[in-house]
Amino acid sequence: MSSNQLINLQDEKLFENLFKEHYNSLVHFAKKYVNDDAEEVVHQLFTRLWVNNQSININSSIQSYLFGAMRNACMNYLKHVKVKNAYGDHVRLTHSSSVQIDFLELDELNSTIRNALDKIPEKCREVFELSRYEGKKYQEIADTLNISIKTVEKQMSKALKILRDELSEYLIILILLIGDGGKF
Amino acid sequence: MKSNHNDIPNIESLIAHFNGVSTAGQQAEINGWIANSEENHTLYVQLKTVWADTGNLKSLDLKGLTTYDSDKAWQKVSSHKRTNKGQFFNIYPRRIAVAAAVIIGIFSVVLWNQPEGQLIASADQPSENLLADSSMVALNVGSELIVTKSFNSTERRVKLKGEAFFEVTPDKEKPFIIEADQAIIKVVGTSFDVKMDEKTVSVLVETGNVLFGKKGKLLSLNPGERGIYHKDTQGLELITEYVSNGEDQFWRTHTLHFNGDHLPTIVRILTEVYGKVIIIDNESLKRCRLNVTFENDSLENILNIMSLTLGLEVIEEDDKIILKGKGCQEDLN
Repeated sequence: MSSNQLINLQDEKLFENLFKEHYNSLVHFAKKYVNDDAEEVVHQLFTRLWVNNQSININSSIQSYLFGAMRNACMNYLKHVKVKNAYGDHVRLTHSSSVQIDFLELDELNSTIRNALDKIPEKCREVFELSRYEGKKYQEIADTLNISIKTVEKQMSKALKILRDELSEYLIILILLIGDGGKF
Repeated sequence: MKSNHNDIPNIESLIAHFNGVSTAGQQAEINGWIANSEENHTLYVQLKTVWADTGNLKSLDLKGLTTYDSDKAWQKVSSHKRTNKGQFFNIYPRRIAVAAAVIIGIFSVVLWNQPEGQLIASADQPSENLLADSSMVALNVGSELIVTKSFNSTERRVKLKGEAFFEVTPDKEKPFIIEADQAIIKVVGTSFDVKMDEKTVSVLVETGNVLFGKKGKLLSLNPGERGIYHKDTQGLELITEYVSNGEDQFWRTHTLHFNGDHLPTIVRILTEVYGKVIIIDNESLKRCRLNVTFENDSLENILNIMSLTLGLEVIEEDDKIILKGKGCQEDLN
């Protein structure tokens, strides 16, 4: 893993290769966060990167950087998707160039998530993994582990709480308004 | 155990939603919970993120998954770069997202309170707005909408200046009424476009039925019909066979479609939409026809596609574009 690398984003050929090489995997990655809007959010991220940044400074690898930026863009997107009662109480002025600062590159993030998963007690983790990775319904989990549905709900709630607490630092949604040329 | 998630209706519903398999009932429950407070919305985003994080940790294996077309996607992104330096285009999908959501993010929308109600204004980009009854209003640049204070009590009344496209949620009990200058538009649940200038107010119906006219004198419009209200005579004109290539809704859909249209028609519409003078160099070119749909394309892309299809030569001069080429045969019919 190399350290600090500066990538010139104004080199169109390089940017195009970067885009094409990572596009597919970024869309699949983003899909987990924003479902069917994944392609749109990937387009946005790249457009924003390109229009607003001369270059980017990365710590690990370009792939890791892009996935970290992608996760961030997805959280931002989810936050911006305002649900019903849209006419809240305040003046809302958003800029097309709002760009977020500070995010984890994927390598860092993944080790944080692994640590968070390790913090979940074993029984509880068993329930969580059956739901998360095997897509099992509560009833099926209850049958498999011979526990009540209420217990499944309780364990899931607990697992999510632990994950949210452990990852809390990386779940802060910053919406910053920065003028053109804002840096990541 | 008391957890912080007690206010979440039901975690099983939430997970079904994350996995995209929630029932309508579960979806409504979740939407209600999210809409309830800013905190709930933030918590929702965090939980959704945690769920996605843990999923991505195990499955960034792309074998057997759909392959997305990166060449086509690149075309889109690179055209944004060329045509919209410093700001970018509406690239959000137009349809309303799963959670019946409104996307405000990248648009310049201003909301503020007025004596009459809430004013929504689109400054330099069109905006999509979700009203309290779940109706969607796409507001064109420079247009304003006032949502009256009593909106959604016994009726749903708004006031429009400029142009907007409405997708009204059906509710027979509460008619949706738009005051557009002197004219009135009354609907129950439908989608349609309204625009106005100094002399006229006009309505184009996409789906459903629309009542349009002056108070006490309303005419019913069907899908595909256009009604034009003339302010000076206070008369209503009905155009039943309205044909369009999409140019009048381009501000919203970024889509143009040509079904065997001749080059002069295509050039006229491209000029109208992109504001660039395009000249057809020779007579035989005017016989050429095109069958194509352009969606979110830059003028540059469109001209590229046209030049490939029709064998044109596209010459750019400072303020105009000239189309040259051998042209096409006479129509056989």
